[in-house]
Amino acid sequence: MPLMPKRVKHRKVQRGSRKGTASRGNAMAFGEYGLQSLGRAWITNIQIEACRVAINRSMKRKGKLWIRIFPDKPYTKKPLEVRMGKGKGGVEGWVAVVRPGRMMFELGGVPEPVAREAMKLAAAKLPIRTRFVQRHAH
Amino acid sequence: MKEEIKLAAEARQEIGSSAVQRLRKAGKVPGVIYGAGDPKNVSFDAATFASIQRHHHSENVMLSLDIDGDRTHKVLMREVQHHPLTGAPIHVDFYELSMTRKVRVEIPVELTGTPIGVTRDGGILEQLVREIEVECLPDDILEEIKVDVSALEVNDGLTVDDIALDPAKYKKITAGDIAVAAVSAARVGEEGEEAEEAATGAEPEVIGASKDDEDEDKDQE
Repeated sequence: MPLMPKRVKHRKVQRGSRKGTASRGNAMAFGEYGLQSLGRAWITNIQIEACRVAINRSMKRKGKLWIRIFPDKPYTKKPLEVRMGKGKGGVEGWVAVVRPGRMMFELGGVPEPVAREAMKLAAAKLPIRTRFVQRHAH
Repeated sequence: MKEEIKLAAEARQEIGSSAVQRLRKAGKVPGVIYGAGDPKNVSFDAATFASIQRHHHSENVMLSLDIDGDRTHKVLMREVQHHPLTGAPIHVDFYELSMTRKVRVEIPVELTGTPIGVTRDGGILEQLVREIEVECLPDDILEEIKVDVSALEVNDGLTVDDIALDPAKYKKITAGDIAVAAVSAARVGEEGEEAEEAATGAEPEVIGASKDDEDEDKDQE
């Protein structure tokens, strides 16, 4: 089942703002390695799912993955060849609002090269620039 | 804590976001000292501070903060705010210490060794707690606590109580039964998870909306 909320307060919402940097969720909280966003975008639940599958397959189901973003925002679209007006379009999908600095995925329990490769594959599924980060090595 | 590092600072009159932004552009970092007497605003050189941070894994470093060459304050870094993208320090909170008064600090926990459960049985080592809070004298503050996990087998774990610290010097504030590290079994047979469940058309429930309202909305679309 694609990621989406179980209950919502409003069926449709306005587009909102994506300006600024991620003020929360920008640090490593669970794992050893992470994929941090360098751009801003609406990441759809399908893209998040594609990343999850790519990471799990790449790690051969070892290690542990934390998905730090959740698509809680519905986006709407008017049908093709419909004139403007007559109300807002239907809900087309669900997105997570991602700003620069957001830690999107975290990994633990695998060696660094494995994590790096998994994150590279996940990054290829996303519409924004990202970077691989790790807890400071000493 | 063995070493003590000197950092030259100057009293800061500039307050407010645009004033401190100018300071940052000039290569300085704004900060504040509190803990004894009135809080004081300070600023210091960003490059010197970055070099201190590079040489210390933990932020539990005791500093001698020399303000305008006038008076030296023994301080502990309590909170360092970093820029989410560049990682550059934005602001630092310093806590002024009294060498005879105990302080509460969060000490990072570093796991050493590879558990038997990982090497032999292919389990996954998880670190559940990265810092534990202890109360001690400033001279006894540790930069990190090393915990050997090499004896852990699958489904074994370590709690805060298992971390050996001298009870005469350190009082653990973090609850003793909290798990610090655990080795869990490798995931097997989760292939079904990857198969996409066909649940198209599923819509979330709208809080507080009656059934008629929802049907009406759908008709409009």
